[in-house]
Amino acid sequence: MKARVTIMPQAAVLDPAGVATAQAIEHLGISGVRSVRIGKSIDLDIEGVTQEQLHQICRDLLSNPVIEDYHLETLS
Amino acid sequence: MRCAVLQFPGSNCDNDALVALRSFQGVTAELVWHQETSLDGFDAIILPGGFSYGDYLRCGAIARFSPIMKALRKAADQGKLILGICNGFQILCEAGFLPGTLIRNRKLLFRCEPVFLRVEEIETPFTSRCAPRQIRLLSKLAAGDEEQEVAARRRGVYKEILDEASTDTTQLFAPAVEFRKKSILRLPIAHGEGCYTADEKTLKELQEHHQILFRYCNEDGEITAAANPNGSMDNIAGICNRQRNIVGLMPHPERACEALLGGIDGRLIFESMLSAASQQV
Repeated sequence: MKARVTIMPQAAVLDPAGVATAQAIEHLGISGVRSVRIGKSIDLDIEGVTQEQLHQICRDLLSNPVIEDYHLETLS
Repeated sequence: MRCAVLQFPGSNCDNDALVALRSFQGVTAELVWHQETSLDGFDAIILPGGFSYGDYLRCGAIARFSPIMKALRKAADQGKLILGICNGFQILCEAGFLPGTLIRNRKLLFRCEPVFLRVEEIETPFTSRCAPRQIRLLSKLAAGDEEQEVAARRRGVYKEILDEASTDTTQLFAPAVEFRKKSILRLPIAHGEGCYTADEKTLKELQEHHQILFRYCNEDGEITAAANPNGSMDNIAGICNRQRNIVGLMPHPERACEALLGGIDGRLIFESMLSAASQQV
């Protein structure tokens, strides 16, 4: 089974990489992109891992709850 | 006095910390590999700067799970003094020893330069030697008269105040002297992710419990946006836990322990820590 974790910076947290990318899009000549937020996506290949354990992995290691939110989806 | 310098894969200021600690009389300092499981017998513990685990995932996120961290927790609970520098600060935050976290510098710049820090709290084991009263004595002696100032330095008055253990007279002429009048330190920074971030509640608690020890300032000691190198909330450069035995800061005191290397203000932090640790023993 596979699990995909998407981690995004919380709305209130400054994301300087996203801001810089948004500026680059403008320089590309495309307007209308109001903001960019950069997160990361992590795929796990799992066997016999419970949902609870998956959440523990996300909470304690993959994301930092002070600045990030995670979204967990399992793909069969 | 026995100090441990923890060594993670990717630490790169570990030997600098070792050399800095060993320059103090009566101090033995040893590297402790992250796979070790005990810190028994050490009086103070340093988490050095660097890029532990290549900063994978987030700075300090993986080091948090090293076996030595359990021993660190035990040492922390025993009230031993723990100092995290740069990446060491990031690890302490990730591991929950200190509140908040450090994110990418505003404007994405890696900042590598000397900065000024205002020491906000003197009554901690890490800042006791930064007290402004020592500095007043110093400035009164010198009184802005260059000739007198030099004479005072020659007489060794500065030596006594700056570093009781030091016999190296070259240190007496360090640029640090002038800045100490207001409890301002000049220390180097070198980081890409030093923007201190915490939620409003945490920030308020830090202020209420006087846990903010160092803030970025200009050379007159004023806390300004221009003096903030990385976008840290409240210009925070270093904080402590509520029990005041754990400190993390982004600037590098171990790189400011020799006049030849541009300043000795870092010695004040180590002197404070070592003198507090020796009283604990």
